[in-house]
Amino acid sequence: MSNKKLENELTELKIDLDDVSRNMVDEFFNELNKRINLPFVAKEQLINDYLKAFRYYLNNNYKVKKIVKLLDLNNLGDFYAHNERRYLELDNAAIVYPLGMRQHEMPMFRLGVKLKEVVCPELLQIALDITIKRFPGFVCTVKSGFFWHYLETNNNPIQIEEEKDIPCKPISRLSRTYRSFRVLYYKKRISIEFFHVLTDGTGGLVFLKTLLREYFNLKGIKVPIEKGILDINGIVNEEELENEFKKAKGDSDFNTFVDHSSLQLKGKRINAPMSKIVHFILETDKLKEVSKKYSGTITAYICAIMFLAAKPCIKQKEGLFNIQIPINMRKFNNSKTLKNYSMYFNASVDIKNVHDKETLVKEISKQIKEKGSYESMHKMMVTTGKIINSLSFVPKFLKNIVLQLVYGSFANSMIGSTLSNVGLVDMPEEMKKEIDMVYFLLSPGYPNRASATMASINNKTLFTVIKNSDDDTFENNIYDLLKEDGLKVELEGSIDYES
Amino acid sequence: MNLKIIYPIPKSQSQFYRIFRIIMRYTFIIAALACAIVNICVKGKAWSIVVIWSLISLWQLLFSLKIMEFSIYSHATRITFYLSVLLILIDYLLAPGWARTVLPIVLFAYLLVMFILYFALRDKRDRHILSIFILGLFSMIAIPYSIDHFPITNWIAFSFSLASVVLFIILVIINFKNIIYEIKVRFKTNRIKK
Repeated sequence: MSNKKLENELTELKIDLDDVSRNMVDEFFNELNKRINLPFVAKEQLINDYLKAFRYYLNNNYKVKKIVKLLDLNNLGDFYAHNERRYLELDNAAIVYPLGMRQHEMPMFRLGVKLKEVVCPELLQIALDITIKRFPGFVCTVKSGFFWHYLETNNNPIQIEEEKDIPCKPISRLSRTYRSFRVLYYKKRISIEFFHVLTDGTGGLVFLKTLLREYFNLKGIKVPIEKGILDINGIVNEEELENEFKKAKGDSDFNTFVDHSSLQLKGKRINAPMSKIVHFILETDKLKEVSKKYSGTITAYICAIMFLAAKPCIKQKEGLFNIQIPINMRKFNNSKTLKNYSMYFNASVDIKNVHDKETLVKEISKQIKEKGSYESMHKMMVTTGKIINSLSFVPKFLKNIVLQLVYGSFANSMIGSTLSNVGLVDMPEEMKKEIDMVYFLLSPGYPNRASATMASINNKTLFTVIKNSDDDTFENNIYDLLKEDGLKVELEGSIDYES
Repeated sequence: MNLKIIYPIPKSQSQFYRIFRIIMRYTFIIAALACAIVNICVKGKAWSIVVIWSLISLWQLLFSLKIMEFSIYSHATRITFYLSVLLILIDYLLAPGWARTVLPIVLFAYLLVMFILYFALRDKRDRHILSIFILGLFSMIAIPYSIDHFPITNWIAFSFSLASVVLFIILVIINFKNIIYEIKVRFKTNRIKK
């Protein structure tokens, strides 16, 4: 090892070991050294990760032979030995994000799990070190081309961080290992925050599940590779990097993009990704039962609740309130892509017609069926493709100017709120046993005051309201409305970040 | 409605930079407008253009950092670009002749620093070669600039320009493959062929 500090740490690590074990440790770190061809600081960082993990195991009375087996260096492959620069274009949904971004803004979302035990950061770091090689579309930095932004792969290791800040904060571009996602831990929670250019909720979940499998494996819990988990030593399937939007052919209709502007919830927005997080923890079975009672799906029922809760929070007495609902396009064609592959539609109801759950659930279910249909979404995809194609030769700085004007104010003003539901998160039983809850956060874009997400596992549905306003009425109303239907609601969340 | 707090309480963030940025934005706008109006009223040399460009440069370099691909290379390139344009404006609008010596020196200094950084920071160089290449190309303007009014040439400027050309050619030769790759990917249009 070239670094004195690391040499000393390695010597310290071997102090209480017998000769055979010492030789094994030396062999292990020599082999590790051979597998890394990175700039000095990055190499040091990666070796340090393994030293820490080794120390963790030794402190927990693991035998060296077992440690070497658990930290199997074959899992590193040759990822850190070759610095391959690979060009990846942004998909049609992602392409707009960097163009419309302003200073100190970054569209981010978070996926996470609450484990039954406190997270071990040493092992989480190793899990990340070995998992990222399977996701070339994620180990990227966003770069600036003359016509569009694009992604370029980079094999510098990524450091996990302890969660200390407001969720979904923009990733600092000044960081040495600047990348487009971050992995965080806090007590029993592991979270991954993605810059939305990389992927959507479904792609993010595949990464989360694969990372968790490796983490549990390092903890000695064997988890099979199934239910959306990828084999980290498997060959990268090019379909996972595909821009599925490009395959959409057929008729376009520009009207699919244009909607009436939406009323907005009242309250002062703060200068942060969010002002408060409120998790409503519900029993999935009961929630399903109640939704069925109103003859709708869980999404339709929760959407109806949001409309009813929003009514008293809107200054105007009439006008459309739109809730944007993303549709996962993979359900129509079983695509394997890990890039963004979702389209959106607005569930719209005139606020003066918002009275009772029955009528609302019926109306929203009808809209989900019509506007969220494959035909409608496909038309929107074709239109997106045509718009992007027609802008191909327009220099990026011109697109930047137009989109900075349009994206922030015009596009988001057609939305009053968002409801994104990743549904029931399917995991192997061995993994489910170790997990208590799944978290999903999405910060509300300007000028929206709230967005909502849903994710379910182990008969627990986490309905989350992410606020960016100083008015609490919306979430209080939601609580009352859920209680009204006899649902047992547990509440968790954050402090008011504004105060 | 009582929440169980499960998120860490963040350290209170200073709002100083945000407020300072807002104040500076309006100060710069007012200053630029005032200079333009005064210049039009009092007539004479177009000094307000130099002031406005200086304000734009300061804003871009201090308060409007690049959102994507911020690096020591790209920032140095931006600084040199804004400074060079400022020198050219001063030369044409206020004090002809003086900037003709300074510009080639500035550009040579930039290329020299980039050259040193390039060999010092091995891990990052390949990924930032295009910004050096583009400003290297830009620095070539120093040559016709320095040999203006030939044969009464500004020999100091000419020597620096020549040195810049040599540095630039060396960088291009060493990085030929990378530069071609960068040009290819940076100019992709993502167009779907029908």
